Amino acid sequence: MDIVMTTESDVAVFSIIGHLDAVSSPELEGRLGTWFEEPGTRLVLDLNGLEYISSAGLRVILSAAKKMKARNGKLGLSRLQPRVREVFQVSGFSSIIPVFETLPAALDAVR
Amino acid sequence: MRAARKPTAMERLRRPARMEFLHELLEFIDAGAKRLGFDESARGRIRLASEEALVNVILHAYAGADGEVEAGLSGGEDRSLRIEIRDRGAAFDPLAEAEPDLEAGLADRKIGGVGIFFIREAADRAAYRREGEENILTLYFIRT
Repeated sequence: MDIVMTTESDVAVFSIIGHLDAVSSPELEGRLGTWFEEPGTRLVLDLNGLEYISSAGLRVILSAAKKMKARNGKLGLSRLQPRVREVFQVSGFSSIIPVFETLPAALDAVR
Repeated sequence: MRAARKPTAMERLRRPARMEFLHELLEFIDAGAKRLGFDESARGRIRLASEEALVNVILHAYAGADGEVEAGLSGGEDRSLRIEIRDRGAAFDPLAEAEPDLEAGLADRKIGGVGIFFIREAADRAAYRREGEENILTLYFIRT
């Protein structure tokens, strides 16, 4: 897994690439943990390059969503690939975390 | 006329039940699925169910003590793949666990149980048995 963090004006974008599983999810958790030390309130996870996610990856995203809610921030996910989208749908996560077809749509939504 | 394909002998890989061996076990399973002709989408489901089953053993079977986990796989006559995940921890039937509340809102949502839910959801059939000192979780996948 690779994580690329960029900032689109006032929105932090984490692009997650490869497999987000029980082995790699602690790395994402650590990177997000560092970001959460600052008071940012606009966060997008761009999943365009994500090929696979398991419950360990969902756990990290759920935890980020809860932290964003606690600080009255906004979180959006963008560009889920078919298999990742299926995991989000089956687990009911698509109904609790906003999912967008494009990155600009996610950026607009959290602004 | 083509002869019916006989079930293949079970291949096994046993490793210490630690996260650093998860990928090796998953690659072993994926290579078998690929050899049996499962497509990428089916192999995604096989990987998901297998990861959740293996991680469950790695995190919980031995309560912090050392132990081993074994992945076994064989192909069936009916275009199927059978995967067995074995451990020697305390008796535990993951399939008997309650389903998670998938309707809960963000505030009440918990991740516990989602992994086991994915095992049930991704596999075409799943079965648990205790044999002597072993927990054996069997996952079946049918090639379409």
